[in-house]
Amino acid sequence: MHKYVKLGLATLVGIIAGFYLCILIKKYTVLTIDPTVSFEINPLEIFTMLATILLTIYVARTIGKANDLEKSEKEMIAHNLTDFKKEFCSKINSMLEQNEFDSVLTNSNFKILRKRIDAIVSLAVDYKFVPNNDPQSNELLNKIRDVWELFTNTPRTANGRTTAAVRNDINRLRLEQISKINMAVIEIEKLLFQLTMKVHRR
Amino acid sequence: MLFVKTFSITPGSRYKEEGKKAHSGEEFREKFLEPNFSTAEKNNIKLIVNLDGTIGYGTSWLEEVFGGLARKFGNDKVLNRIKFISEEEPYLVEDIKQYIKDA
Repeated sequence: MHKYVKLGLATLVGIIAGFYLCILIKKYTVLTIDPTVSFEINPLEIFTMLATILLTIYVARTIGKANDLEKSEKEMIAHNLTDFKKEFCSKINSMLEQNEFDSVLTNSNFKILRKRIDAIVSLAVDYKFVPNNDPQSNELLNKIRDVWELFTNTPRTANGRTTAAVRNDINRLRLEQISKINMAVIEIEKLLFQLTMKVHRR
Repeated sequence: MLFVKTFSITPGSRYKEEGKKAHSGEEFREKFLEPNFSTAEKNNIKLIVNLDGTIGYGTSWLEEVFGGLARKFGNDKVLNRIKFISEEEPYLVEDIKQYIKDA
């Protein structure tokens, strides 16, 4: 709707400007067209002109469609990456808050997360937004695998029977893992942003 | 062919001692993988392990199963004898091969 209002306004301004321009030309110049002037039209030129117009319409439509399609593909992949980032951060935060290490829920979450990012990267490669074996995409997939390993290969939590020294060591290792996870998440967010920009730039 | 899902669709922890219903890697290795691996060796055939159909794996479980097998039988023997199938998570195959090499 907004587009049509703009077009209407532009047409109106054009008509008014043309009207005043005609008055000005008539007033300040001596340019007149002789009513007896004759025009000669070559039928071949008409054909050429028609062919040019048709060709222009065809090219504009075809290129326009291809551009629209590419734009929508680009937006969908970028949108998927943004959605993935939100889902990834939300699931990681939730697992960290609930201390879900090496549990069935963690395994299930990571199966979905890893499969999803793998599918998005494959699509980006298939649609040529990202080259095959792109170092950034590979680094992203490896970082996500690292986080999966950090979550699912952690020391067992201390129980009541554990000695204080062992308990301290286990807690220290757990804190180290959490710190590594948080650092890796920051790296993943950065890589996801870079990949989104790469898709947009293509 | 050995389907992990016939053991459990929720593979869990590393060791048996972590609970009776832990569906641990150690239990899978001892009860399912090692006997099948020995049979495959005896008959000089490939053992196909299908990883699909579970809700997901943890590193501890995979390492205990395949790393544990490699520690017992040797890395190269295990790598040459087992063929992995994972349609759902194809990248798991490379992860597992790495655990076998690192064992």
